[in-house]
Amino acid sequence: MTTPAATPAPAPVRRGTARRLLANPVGAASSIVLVVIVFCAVAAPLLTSYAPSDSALKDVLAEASAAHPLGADGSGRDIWTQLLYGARQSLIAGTIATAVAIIIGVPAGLISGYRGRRLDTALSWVSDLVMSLPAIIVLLAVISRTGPVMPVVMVAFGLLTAPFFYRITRSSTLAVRNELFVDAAQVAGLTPLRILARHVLPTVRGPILIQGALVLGMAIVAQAGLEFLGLGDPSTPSWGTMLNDALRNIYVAPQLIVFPGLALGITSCALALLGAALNDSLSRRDTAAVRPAPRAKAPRAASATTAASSDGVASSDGVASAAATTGLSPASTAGAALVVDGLRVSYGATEVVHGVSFTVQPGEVVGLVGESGSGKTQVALASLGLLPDTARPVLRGLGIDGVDATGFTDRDFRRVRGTRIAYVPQEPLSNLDPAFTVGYQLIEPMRHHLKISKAEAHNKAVALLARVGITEPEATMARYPHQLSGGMAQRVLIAAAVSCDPALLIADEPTTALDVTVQAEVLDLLRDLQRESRMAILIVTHNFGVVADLCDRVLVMRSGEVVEQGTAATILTAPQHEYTRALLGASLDSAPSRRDRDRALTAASAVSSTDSSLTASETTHA
Amino acid sequence: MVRFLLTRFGGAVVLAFIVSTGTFFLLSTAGADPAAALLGIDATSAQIAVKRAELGLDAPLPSRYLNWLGGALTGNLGTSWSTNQQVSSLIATRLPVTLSLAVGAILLSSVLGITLGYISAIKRGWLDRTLQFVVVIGYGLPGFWVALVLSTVFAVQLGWFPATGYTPFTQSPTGWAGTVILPIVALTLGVAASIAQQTRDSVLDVLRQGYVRTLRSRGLPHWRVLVLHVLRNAAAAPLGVISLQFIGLLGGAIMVENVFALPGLGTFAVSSSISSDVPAILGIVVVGAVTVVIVNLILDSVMAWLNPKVRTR
Amino acid sequence: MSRFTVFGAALLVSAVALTGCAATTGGTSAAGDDAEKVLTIGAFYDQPSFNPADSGSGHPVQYMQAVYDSLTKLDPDGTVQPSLATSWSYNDTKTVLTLELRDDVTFSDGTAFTAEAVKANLENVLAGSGQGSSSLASIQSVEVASDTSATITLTAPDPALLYSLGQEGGFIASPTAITAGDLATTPVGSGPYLLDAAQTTAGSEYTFTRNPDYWNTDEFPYDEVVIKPLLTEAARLNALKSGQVDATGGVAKMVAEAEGSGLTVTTAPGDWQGLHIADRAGEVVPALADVRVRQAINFAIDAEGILETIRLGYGERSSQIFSPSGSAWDAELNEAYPYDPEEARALLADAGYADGFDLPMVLSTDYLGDVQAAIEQGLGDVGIRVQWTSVPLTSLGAEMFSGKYPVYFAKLATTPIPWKDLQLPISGMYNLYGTEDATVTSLMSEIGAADDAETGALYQELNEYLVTEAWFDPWYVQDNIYLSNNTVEVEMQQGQIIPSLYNYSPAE
Repeated sequence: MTTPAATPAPAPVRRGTARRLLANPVGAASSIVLVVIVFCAVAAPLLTSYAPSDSALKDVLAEASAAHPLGADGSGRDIWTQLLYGARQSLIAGTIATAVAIIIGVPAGLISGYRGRRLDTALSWVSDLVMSLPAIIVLLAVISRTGPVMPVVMVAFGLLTAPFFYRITRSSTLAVRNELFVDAAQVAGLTPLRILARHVLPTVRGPILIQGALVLGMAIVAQAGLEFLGLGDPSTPSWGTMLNDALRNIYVAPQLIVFPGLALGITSCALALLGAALNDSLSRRDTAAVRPAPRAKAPRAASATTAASSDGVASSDGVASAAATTGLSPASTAGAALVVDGLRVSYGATEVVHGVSFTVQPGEVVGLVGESGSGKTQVALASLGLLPDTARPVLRGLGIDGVDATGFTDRDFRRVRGTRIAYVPQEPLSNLDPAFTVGYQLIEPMRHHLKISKAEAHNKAVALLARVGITEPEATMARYPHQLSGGMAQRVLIAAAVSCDPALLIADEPTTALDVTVQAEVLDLLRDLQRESRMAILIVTHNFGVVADLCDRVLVMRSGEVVEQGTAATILTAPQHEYTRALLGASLDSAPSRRDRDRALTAASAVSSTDSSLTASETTHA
Repeated sequence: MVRFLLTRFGGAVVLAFIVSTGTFFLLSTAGADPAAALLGIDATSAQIAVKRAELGLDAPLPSRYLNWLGGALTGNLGTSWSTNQQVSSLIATRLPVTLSLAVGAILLSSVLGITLGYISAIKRGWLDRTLQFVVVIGYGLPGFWVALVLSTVFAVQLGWFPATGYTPFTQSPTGWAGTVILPIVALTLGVAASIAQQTRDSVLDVLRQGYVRTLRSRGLPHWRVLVLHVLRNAAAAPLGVISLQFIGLLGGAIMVENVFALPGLGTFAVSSSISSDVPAILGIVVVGAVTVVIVNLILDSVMAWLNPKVRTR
Repeated sequence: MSRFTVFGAALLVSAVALTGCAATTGGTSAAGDDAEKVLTIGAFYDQPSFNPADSGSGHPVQYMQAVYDSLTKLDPDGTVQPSLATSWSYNDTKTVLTLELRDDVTFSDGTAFTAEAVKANLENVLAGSGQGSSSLASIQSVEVASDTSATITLTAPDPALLYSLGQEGGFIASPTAITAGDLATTPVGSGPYLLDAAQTTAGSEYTFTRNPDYWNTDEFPYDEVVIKPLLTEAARLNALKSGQVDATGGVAKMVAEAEGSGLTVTTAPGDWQGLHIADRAGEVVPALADVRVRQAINFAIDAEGILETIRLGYGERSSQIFSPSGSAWDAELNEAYPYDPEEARALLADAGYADGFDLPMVLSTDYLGDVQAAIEQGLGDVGIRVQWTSVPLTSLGAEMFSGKYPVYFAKLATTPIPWKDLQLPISGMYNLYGTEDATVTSLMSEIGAADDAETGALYQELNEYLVTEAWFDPWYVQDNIYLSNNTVEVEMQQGQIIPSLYNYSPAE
């Protein structure tokens, strides 16, 4: 039987921003609307036979007719004509303001981010000052001096909104500035201008466009607002002046507020929508492509414990098929710490895990080994019910510490998470809630699951921290995650995971993000904990050294399938599958062995206790 | 934290000073003669001269500025040219009206916006799309136009609310509510939209963070994770938007006050601008800037308190 | 049992209290009962100053009439009646006016009203920046003949003086208060009401309570008058409809809505609106020196059309700068310039301007907005190309009278006293280039010297001359429109934009 062709996890489709924008229905629609508006403004003389100042007294407040498709205003001018020419006024006003804002804000941001120091402080301070000014009030003050001269007022508005562009440019520049390659470029003799142009501007182009769309909308509405207040030039048609006229005629012709209001609203909305669509397409959030899947529910299938024999779907090409070596017999599944039977995971139309089955016995340490993209993390997360919403897991059966978890909803999973099954993630610092103290995050699950008092939980937490090797447990309780080192944070996470005595701990590459010496300590910790509490561990790793150190059994995964299973000793010394051999060959060659690492550790801490020699001798692992 | 507050407060003082100085010189430079503007079209040059003398317009600019500054530092913002009242008492009377609108709108839109944005980010699906759509509509429609429509429909046609006028809260809470409801709703739409959008994005961002999954892995109750942890972490960004929106609200309040004829700073600002009443405009600009700074100070303090990195410094 | 009685009593008391509260809030009480009669008026503008020296004409009059008496009093039809001045007489050359004064009037600060007060007040107004100083411009000096007699010496005869002393020129404040210098915010007068500072919020509500010592109480039936400035038309109409005010000024566009809501609409002739063709000497635009060109302008604008469509017919077609209520009015003159673009073009061709000419004009949204299009269209159709300069309202005065614009749109008051109507456009600043004309000058000096009975014919002669010479292009006399509800009866004041305070009375 054939296996489904191994396909990688879905990668973002490489398309240009513009094309992505237009593929987004919102982006396309708003772009079209804006193009129409611009066209109307530019081609106004073609779209109407009236001049903008044409009026006829007999037509004052005329209703819609052939001569006046939208009716006429309080002076007898055609409304359709006023709308068209008014579009010019609005667009010109908005463009002036936005252009000024960009011309002032972007270079200022570039200089600020690049030069830094005092110039940056000064410019930032000025920017904050300007942003604190209530714009309309300032514009009123300007008008009281200069009169309703639209370009002047719009330049003023541009100055007031320049800080928006200043800020985004500055932060982009800062981010790039700190990149190493900038220093390299400087050494190579590139002028700042060149560096800015080639490296900073491309990254900041997107946000500027988005902000520009928004500011354009703001400027158009602000200009209309001032005209509405009567501070515009009545001899030039504009939407705001039309609304002012509408207000004057509110009792005899309330319908006059409709069209200029709609024109303003549509333009402003289109610009806002365009900004949002640009935002989406620039950050590659394909809003249309990926539909949020319904909450992952495994279909009710036959109970895991009765799942016997050939699950042919799990087989790969012949040798050492997972089904054969899983041994999902009632014997192995009953009382197991973890039973996974026939797990498939798909994202959209792509399947990334193709029928994986295995068990973890109580007290056993099982290694899930594979390269990136092998699907091992998917398996780990699926066991916890913590796959993302976009994933669709399908299970024939799932068993957690004797509980039949097949078809569990998230609510059901919550009953077993923490108490029966726990999780230690890969990146320690980004997996602690930065807004709460270490102590809080330890106490929280204990109080919830164990129903103990705050004081009791506090004491338990302190003890846990001490157990995991934190030197000042009491002080650490009050610390925030950003005050911890990577190693400390991982210890905290381990402590939190084991705090409610789970039967199974799933550790997803727990040492990958740590320094080498710390890695060793954390692994030691895990081993000690496991020995003390007889907790089962499923450890996901790409590192055979970890396997050798901790694991009883090993599952080797490739492209979403288990290609080989066996005891650690067997896998390490006599791998059957060619892939396993390839992996071993690649890793053992480059990484130092455990023995070597221990020697290095001992040598480094030569002054420390004699226990180090004991540690070294306990490395051999069956 | 204390040092943070002190530096911000110091910044506020400096800001007020700079804004007032800048505005003073802006308004006092060449332009329409305020005396002529105040007296109206039919004023003779003799009358204008008398008025100029009254207003002290013939004194040299620096001495006028120092006079004003000296007065301002002791709380005396001068006398309004168009109403002969003390600018400070005029502003004191009118500020509560504008604040009723601005604060009311900010509170209402914060509650609405954060709730909608939050729910939309959590639930996704059609609710999210609908919200996105509504957000854009709310964001795009000009506030004064919405006010116009609300006034026409609910006040003039249906008569549910007074179309004009303001009842102070101390006089009658229900009356006050009746006079500010429509203006606040008109202002809320755009602001709530912005806040909802920002909240949604922020919550989505937080949901993508590793620690959310790790928290879930501990079997914590749903609400604990989503409300206590997620909302707590997602709050900072909307707060930033709220503070920006408040600045915009002061401008929006001007438009809306004019539609509903509310005796707030907005109508006062427009009439002062039209009549070139320099002391009044100056006072309004200064008070406006200071109000914004105070509100930002409060919001920044909250944001700083929320951010452990700042709190523990 | 007693508990229920107490509870029931409490309910009853609170119910009574609530209805009492409801009755007194919201404005007027029903006419005819013993409760206080309160009149609430919606005003167009706020009152910046109670100092008569600062006071403008027109809208401020109600604020002033509440707290001050004027030297003369104007009947609703404009007839000058005695007030603080009981009688008066001119000398032969009409350059000295003697006023006999009341001896029984006291200001609210206890100061007695004497001729000293008259002198102090007139001098105060003359030195001020308000429009009173223009109205009293002909006064050279004021002498105190006795406590009850004042003598006013004029630089030239002024047929409008006695009328002005009943308006912005003649409000009399306590001389002590004038010296004290805080009249602007604290009025001290002898008038029918006193400003109730406790119930007054500057800019939003002014409350005036009855002056118990007033010498002419019968004229003012209301115990309390409240004036609320409402700055937008919509606000005024809404306040009236909802009962927050009893009466307020209106505009043509509101009338249908007002009538539909059961409000009363009263009108009287108000401003004349139209073009001032100031450059009769042709200094800026030579074409305008030719009377045919000026007449062409009169024919070119469809004034009737503007009146009907933009002013909704609230006014009377007029080619004159005078009021229908005055003696200069001649209805036949209104036929002089019907809308006739053909005639206009013919006249222009006759004058040598078949290709038309350029005409710079100035405009501002709130002053011209709604007729700008009609002007441009009408003049454009006959070849006169208007070039607009837009300025904010604050600069409009300076621009308009700068001399750059030979023709400008303006609105000017018309009053029962034609002399007053002539001041600004002929003798005053509206005559931009100071053009003089022998006929006009001689007629005006004749009028100054004549007795009241003879002036009518002279005014009419002057009027006809101005119309034939097309010094102006008046379009119509617009109506002053006033709206009120059914609790109050209002009589319009001729030549004044809003009714005088004594023109209101509770409806029967």
